[in-house]
Amino acid sequence: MNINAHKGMAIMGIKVATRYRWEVVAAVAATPLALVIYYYLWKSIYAHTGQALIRGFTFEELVSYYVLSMIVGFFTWSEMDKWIEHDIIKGDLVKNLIKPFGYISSCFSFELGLNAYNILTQMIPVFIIGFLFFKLPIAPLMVFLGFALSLFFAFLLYFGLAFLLGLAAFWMKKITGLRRARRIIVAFFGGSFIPLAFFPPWLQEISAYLPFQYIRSVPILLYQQRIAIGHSLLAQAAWVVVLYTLIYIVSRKAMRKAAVVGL
Amino acid sequence: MKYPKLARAMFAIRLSNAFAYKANFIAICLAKIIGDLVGPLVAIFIYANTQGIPGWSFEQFLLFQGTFIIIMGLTTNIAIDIFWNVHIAVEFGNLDKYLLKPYNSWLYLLSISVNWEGLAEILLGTALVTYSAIKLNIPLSINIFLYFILIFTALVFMTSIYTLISAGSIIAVKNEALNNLFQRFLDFARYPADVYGTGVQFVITFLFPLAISATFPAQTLLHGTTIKGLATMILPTIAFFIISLAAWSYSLRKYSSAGG
Repeated sequence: MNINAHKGMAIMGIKVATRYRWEVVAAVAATPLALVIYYYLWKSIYAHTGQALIRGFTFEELVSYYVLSMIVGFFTWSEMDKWIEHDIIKGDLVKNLIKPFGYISSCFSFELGLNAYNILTQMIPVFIIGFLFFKLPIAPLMVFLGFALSLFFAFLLYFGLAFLLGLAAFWMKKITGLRRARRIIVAFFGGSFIPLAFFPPWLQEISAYLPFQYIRSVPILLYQQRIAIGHSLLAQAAWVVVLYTLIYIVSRKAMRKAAVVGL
Repeated sequence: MKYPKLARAMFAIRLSNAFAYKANFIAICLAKIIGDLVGPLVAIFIYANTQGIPGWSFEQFLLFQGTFIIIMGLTTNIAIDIFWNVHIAVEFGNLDKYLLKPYNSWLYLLSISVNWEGLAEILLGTALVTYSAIKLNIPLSINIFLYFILIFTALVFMTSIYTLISAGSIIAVKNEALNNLFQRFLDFARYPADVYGTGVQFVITFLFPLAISATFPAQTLLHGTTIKGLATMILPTIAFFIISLAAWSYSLRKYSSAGG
């Protein structure tokens, strides 16, 4: 494996990220806004319900949940399907295929570069905002390490899902609708809008068989020490194996399908 | 009548373009519906596990959500793409081609910015509002007329916002960050204004009247309003609309045609 080539792709990812630095500023500026909304919404619901504990969450724990949800969201974000769709439509795929490493690994290095930038500019500021204004507890070292590893697995899963969906562009060309649906489905079944504990039991059961909770909910619950570290990491690793096997199969078919003429 | 005619023609063209990729067209419609179902689903989960949002029964909150979805659908159909059209034109130095036409530039851009993607949202929102209104036994009264007036006002507010952001694009060339920031501000409108503290309520009622984007129309349909109440809801939007048109004119005077 050519490490220098991957380093080059990662640096390119960082450069692309810095091109959109005002987006980053907007995202960081908007984070407290989103948290203020959840804070007031749940404050009024807890006061109205008159219970300190709802579905196993105190008010403070639920606010922390949303802070962590944003942190996980910033780290695991991937728009790989958009880049693949772009490559197909513009006919740029061939440029990536002739690079001295596999398509998926070049994409992965590129996204890793983007996310390294996100850690510095988005994740860390949100952590600080969470600690200072929303009483985000500091987890013990072992839990924090488990959380970091879980985050990495979550990134692998989200990237894999986005890549797999991006491969649909080899057949459909335009996948704008699928991309939008992917974002919403992952956020919903991942527990970004509301913790999965609030879902009715039948929906919780369905979501247990889907990979989405391992992208958002599991790292959050792990940080909050609601689930066992070892079991969670194993389940995430198993999903990574399943997903990347699927990617291997579909990408072989996709490459045979590729015409590389653009639209 | 030339602007509605232009808008109709553009609507038909964009729909034909979308039909060129049928699977993508279906996926976009489904994604819109799935996205808009999230709000009502979260509402169901909240009300199933808690006493809900104070002052809003489940059906009332569904009516609120339906109203928000209708307004977002109308905004998608009419207002959002003015920003993207201006943004792209300014970036490539092409805005001149719009300015040279024998039309009012703002009305022309608004007319060619119509988009079909909000239709699915409007249908879903209407279904939700109708269902809730039947469940709540909302009688036929002046409130229904006022509800439509306030939905129109909300659309004017949203159009003003996108006009303001577009004006920002003309001056700053790249302005997606401001649009993204507004999208986050818009999240305040997803829940009734009375859940927020008084400071936030004041801001979203008078300074940045986001409450018009669901809270006011829904409250008026449910409980009616007074002339003073109506003025409180409509006047800040009118002020905002005037400011946005002034900003548009100012930005055109500053336009350099240089691209970026």
